[in-house]
Amino acid sequence: MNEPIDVIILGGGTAGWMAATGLVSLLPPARCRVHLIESDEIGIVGVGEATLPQMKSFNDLCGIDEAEMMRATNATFKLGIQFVDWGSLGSSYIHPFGIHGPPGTEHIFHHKWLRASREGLPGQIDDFSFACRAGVANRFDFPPKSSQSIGSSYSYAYHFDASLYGRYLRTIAERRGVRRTEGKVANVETDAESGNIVALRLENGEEIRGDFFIDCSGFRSLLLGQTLDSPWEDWTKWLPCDRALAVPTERAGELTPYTRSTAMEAGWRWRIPLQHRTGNGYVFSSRFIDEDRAAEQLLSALDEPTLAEPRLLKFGAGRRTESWRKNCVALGLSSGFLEPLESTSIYLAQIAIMHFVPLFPERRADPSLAAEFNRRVDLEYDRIRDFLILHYHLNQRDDSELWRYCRSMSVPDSLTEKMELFRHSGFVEKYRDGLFTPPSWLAVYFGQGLRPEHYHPLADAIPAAALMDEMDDLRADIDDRVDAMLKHSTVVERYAGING
Amino acid sequence: MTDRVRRLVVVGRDIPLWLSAIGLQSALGRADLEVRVVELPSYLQPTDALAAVPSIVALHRTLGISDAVLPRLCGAVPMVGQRFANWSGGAPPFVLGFDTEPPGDGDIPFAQYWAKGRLEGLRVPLEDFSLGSVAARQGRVPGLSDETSGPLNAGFGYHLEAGPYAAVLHRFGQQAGIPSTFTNGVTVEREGDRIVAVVTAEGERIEGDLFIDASGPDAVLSSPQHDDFEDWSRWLPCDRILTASAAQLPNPPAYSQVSAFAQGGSACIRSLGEPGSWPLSRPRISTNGALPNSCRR
Ligand SMILES: Cc1cc2nc3c(=O)[nH]c(=O)nc-3n(C[C@H](O)[C@H](O)[C@H](O)COP(=O)(O)OP(=O)(O)OC[C@H]3O[C@@H](n4cnc5c(N)ncnc54)[C@H](O)[C@@H]3O)c2cc1C
Repeated sequence: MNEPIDVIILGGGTAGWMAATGLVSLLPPARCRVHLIESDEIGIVGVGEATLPQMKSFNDLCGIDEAEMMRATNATFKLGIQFVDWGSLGSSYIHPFGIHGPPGTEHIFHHKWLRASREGLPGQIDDFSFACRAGVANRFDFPPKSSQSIGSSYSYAYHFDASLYGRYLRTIAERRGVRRTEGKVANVETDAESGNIVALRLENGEEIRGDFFIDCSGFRSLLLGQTLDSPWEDWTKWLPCDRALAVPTERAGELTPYTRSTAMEAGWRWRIPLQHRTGNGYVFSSRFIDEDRAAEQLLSALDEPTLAEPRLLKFGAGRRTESWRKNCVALGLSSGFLEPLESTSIYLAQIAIMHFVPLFPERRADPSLAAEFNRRVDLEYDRIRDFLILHYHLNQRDDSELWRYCRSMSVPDSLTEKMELFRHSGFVEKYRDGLFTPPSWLAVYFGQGLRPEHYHPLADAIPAAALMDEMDDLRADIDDRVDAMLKHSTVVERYAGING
Repeated sequence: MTDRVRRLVVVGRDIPLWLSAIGLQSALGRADLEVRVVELPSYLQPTDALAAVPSIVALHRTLGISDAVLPRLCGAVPMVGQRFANWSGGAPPFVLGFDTEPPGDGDIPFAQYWAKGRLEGLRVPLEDFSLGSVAARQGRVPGLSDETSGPLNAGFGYHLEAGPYAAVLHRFGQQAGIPSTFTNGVTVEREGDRIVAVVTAEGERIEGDLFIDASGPDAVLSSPQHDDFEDWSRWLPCDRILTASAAQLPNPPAYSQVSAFAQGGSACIRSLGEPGSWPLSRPRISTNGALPNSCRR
């Protein structure tokens, strides 16, 4: 075998340490040597508290102990996201990490529910999702491994402190052989002929050479954006939010096993319960509100006393059209930004690593690898983009300018087609690649007030009275099981309590 | 709901006609959907034999068609793989089995490890790690017993005599209560873009809410105004087929043989069973050879 490839990671935020941990855990030492550079002076973006269930797979794959990780990051469990005031003022629904109805009936359940609802069944489709019901009851349990019961129809993610997660991964990555250098990169050296990056020069004069470079430098995108000029595709016409005010508050009494997202006049507000504090923030569009007013609205809406002053962050929705260019791949914020409405940012870094590992290059990177990587990453971004736009576009709010704008804006064709299919016949495409399975789309469509004109004819196959009984039984079954579960805060305390 | 489809008419011939009618009736019949068949004359020749990939087994199970009758009625034998000969210069033939890949490691597929092995002197071809390929070469049928459980999974499809298989489906469809009309041809009655009825050559008018065209290359329901055929012949130049059948091979293989000809084109050999035989004794042979003009040098 040849010498291992020298991979240089620029950046020690969540993305950088996930990349470092992923590479040393998933590739043999003979294949690559990993060296990470981070700057204390610049620091990390330091927000990001809500994750997706894929995070658990990543940790498992890297051999990370769940309880230990949770203790190290003050983590709690997450069964989904509650959306308040989104479709219309006063409305509320949960986007669960789980399905609606019993396992194995996903193709038809929502059609049956739709029919039952037309026949007079009260309530929302949430009532038939185990994850939703457990969520609003503040209960949690680990899903049973292999069972076809309604009680196993969900998965879970974490709320955690992303800065602590980065720090935790650092200890693991360093133990597994990642080299770390503290220092600020002042200069990037490229090869005049190939345009490849050759070395990074730190402010103190030290030069760090490598074969392949992973840009995790955050919004700066120092390597891919600034040095290699990968073009930026701007999506702000669809996703106009460009500011966030983040503020921590005291720990909530009851730990909700879900993130709450409340739609506000010019954006939305997150609330994320951790073991030691609650994370809050207002994501807004500077086109529709100024910072002072946003701060006022945020502070007057908090449930718990603040622990610090609100911190302002600026961003714009969009992505680099090529995440892999020459001998450089960007991960995390340096490759693009989609607002945290569906907690997808850390996932995007993770999935980029998971796409990169099987396409891991030789010393001279073949362009076909970059093309395939970019195709996959593009798809991931596009899927999430459309799903986020759906939340904004599908609203009946008339109380402020942002919501009127979003309702009337024209959206990507890929989204229009999906909405039309659902509007007509309740059909939701089950695509293979990229995030968001049909239950996610269903939750938002139904939760924000889109009702299909027709349900599938198979939903008519049983008599109405039998259908109503079936629905009642299912609801009772779910609620009985939920009643038997422990409180979320109790499970967190016992499994990964920071005081234990 | 008023604009719901209640009457579904399948117009066509042979296997596609009956498979689609049976499939739709079995999936949607419960939902108050009436499926009707308008059957055109068969295009099948006595020499036509089919090779069906393993999804046919699951399809039959879903539709409730018993495979047990297939050997007796259609000369069915299990097809465990496809053997490609003369496709790659002087390289020996290879067998494509119907199986799952051997397990790799995480996201790294098995083939990557095999490729590494080759660089380090491994002489074993990739197909030797395929349960389906090896079974096909040895004339064994995986999936018929539990012996092959473990990380490897393989299945089988069938070689079938096409005409008798179509007849089996026909009978099954009729037993399932699907009404059918036989005709020598149809004309299509439209209102704007919509088909409202087909009229048979014998003068019967059959109305429907939705029509399915299973008539093969004739595409009898396609609109004469919309010629939306997409031509792929620049990539796949073969455009003629010759079929013939020959005497049984003494040791019939469990695979289809697909041989490339120097002049262009290819031959498929599908071994069939003798009525009553199962699984692999004394079959007859049917060949489809193709020598398209466009491929001749
Ligand atoms: C308001 C807001 C809320 C969010 N909420 C969520 C959420 O709930 N869930 C979620 O998944 N994601 C969320 N995110 C996104 C999440 O914060 C990021 O995806 C994640 O933190 C990864 O950031 P990063 O590592 O790419 O960048 P950063 O954390 O910015 O790290 C950049 C690194 O690069 C280094 N660096 C940069 N330039 C140089 C240089 N010249 N020399 C040396 N080092 C350098 C820095 O020192 C730092 O180590 C949110 C983002 C925002 C803005």
